[in-house]
Amino acid sequence: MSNIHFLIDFLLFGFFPEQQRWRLMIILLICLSHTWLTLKFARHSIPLKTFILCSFCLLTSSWYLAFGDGWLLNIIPTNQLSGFILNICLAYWSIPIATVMSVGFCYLMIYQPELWPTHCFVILAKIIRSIPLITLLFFITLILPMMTNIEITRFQAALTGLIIFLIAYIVEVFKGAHQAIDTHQHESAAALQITGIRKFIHIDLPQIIKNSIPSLINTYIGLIKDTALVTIIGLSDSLGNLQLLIAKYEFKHDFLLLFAIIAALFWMLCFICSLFGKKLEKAIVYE
Amino acid sequence: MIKQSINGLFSIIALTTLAILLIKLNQNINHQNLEFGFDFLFSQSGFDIGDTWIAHTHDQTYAHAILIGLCNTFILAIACVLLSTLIGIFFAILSTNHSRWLKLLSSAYINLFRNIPLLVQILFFYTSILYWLPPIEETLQFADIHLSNRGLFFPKAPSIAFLPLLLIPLIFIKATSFKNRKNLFLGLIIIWGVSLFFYDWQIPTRTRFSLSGGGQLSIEWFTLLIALSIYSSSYIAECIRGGIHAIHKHQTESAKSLGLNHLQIMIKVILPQAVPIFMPALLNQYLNLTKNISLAIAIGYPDFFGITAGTILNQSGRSLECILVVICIYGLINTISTYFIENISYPKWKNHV
Repeated sequence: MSNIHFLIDFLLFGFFPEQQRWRLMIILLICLSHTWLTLKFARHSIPLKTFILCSFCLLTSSWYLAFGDGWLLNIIPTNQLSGFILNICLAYWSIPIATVMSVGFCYLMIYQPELWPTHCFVILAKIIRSIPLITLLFFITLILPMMTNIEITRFQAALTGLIIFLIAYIVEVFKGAHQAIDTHQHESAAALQITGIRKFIHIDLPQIIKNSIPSLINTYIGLIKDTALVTIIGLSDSLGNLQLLIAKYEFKHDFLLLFAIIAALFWMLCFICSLFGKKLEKAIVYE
Repeated sequence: MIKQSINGLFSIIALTTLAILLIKLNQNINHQNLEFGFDFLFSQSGFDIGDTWIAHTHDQTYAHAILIGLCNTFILAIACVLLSTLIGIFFAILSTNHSRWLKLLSSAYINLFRNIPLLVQILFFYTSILYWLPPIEETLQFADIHLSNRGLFFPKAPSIAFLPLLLIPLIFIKATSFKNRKNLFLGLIIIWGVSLFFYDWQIPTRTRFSLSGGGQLSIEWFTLLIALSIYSSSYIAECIRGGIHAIHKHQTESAKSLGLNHLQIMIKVILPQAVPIFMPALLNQYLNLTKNISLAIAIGYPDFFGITAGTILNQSGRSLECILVVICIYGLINTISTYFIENISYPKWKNHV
């Protein structure tokens, strides 16, 4: 087992250039600090504006670190970002974006149900929820370039597909959480003449988020597991790298070890996510 | 006024975008010397599907191939539903046991398989089955049943022999009492079992490179059956556990005072009452399972998705039509079952509690 270091290294980081590995370490740190920041925000330790600003900075800096700009950091082609770090990055980049976007769609569905954009969105979300994720990924990789004449890399296709898929599910979760809000809240809001978008932001949204945390975390865990599917459209994430290794004769007999490593990694990630959910649930208290 | 202008603006922008996209799409399709249309579905497919329940040869149409794929998906789905429900009920009952170790076992099972991606599990089972089972030359043999890394070969009776089994639903509908039903069921099974001896069985015989004759279940089918059943059973066990916990504690106590043991309490008292509570969630899981079968494309089993968006798409080059067919059929399956879940199953059972 002298090559176990090589195996773990390849499953984790894949084809990322070896001199640039420190960038991936910083991305991992950014992911952790973002979860920590979210907990801090939930405990009212930092105000909303700071939280939004910090989240934006963290997301953009992690994107910048991963791909570089050719000036300060070397440019990394998207196909070199591979291994388990790709799964983490896909999850990290799709979850905040999809959550923020689905808050907007949730507003549309609750307060503007008669608008045509809302109708379109509802029908699209229904279709997306009824098909498997691979169909969506196939659609984006095969049909979208034909429609727009834009070259879409597989990484971009995977990220777009995951975000769209996640939005369709999260909006449903938010809708359910909104129905669970006590009717007294709406009556009190009406008595204070708080209506429209102000009511949504100050009264509905905090309660929606609090009510929906368990099922939201469930959806996130589902997404983390679904990031393994990007190997079917040809991205070399951890599972793709594993298949590459097994295809080689010298590692053919180590497949139990390799699968155990992958399973342990995914299990750890899901476990951290559910732990985060439990902490978040305790942290959010409205008095 | 504002709403109307938003509607108008949206419809203008959306329609123009859609028109531009469709024109570009049409240009690109014409560029490949193709024309949009579903006529190609009725031309010859030109490929054989090896692993099916109904044969498909290369001179039949693409539409036939898609139907064969659907048939494969549904048969696999039914088998997985049965197996995963059995395993799920087993672990759900285990988790309500008083023994701490059994509880730990069941929670370990549920947490382990729920948190590992399904694709990893499918590939794991596939690789390990291919690795551990012997090649076709030296099969594991039990009587006339052969097991090798090409699949399970077994003697097959003609399909007429299985017709009497269609009477089973009739027994469940017509029989008046539990005892009556049990006797009729046992009688039918015994008569059917005896009758099997009078048919011509096709026995797998060894040819030069393989085994021929008899029935065959491929390794891919087994892999999917095992992986999907284990994965969904962990979800189903959680659903059923939730339903069991929702039943009032008095039920268990009164059953205990009547002298029933733990297993009897669960099967005869608690589970029948918990059915209407966990049924919607359970049906949802079955729907998810049917969608998850599309992952069969990773190991090359010819299910509906694999045939339509894999083989036919690559062979005819008609990506748009194939993806549209997939979306429409999955949408149809989903709409029908959602209607069933929401309108038929739940209120009817709910009234019984």
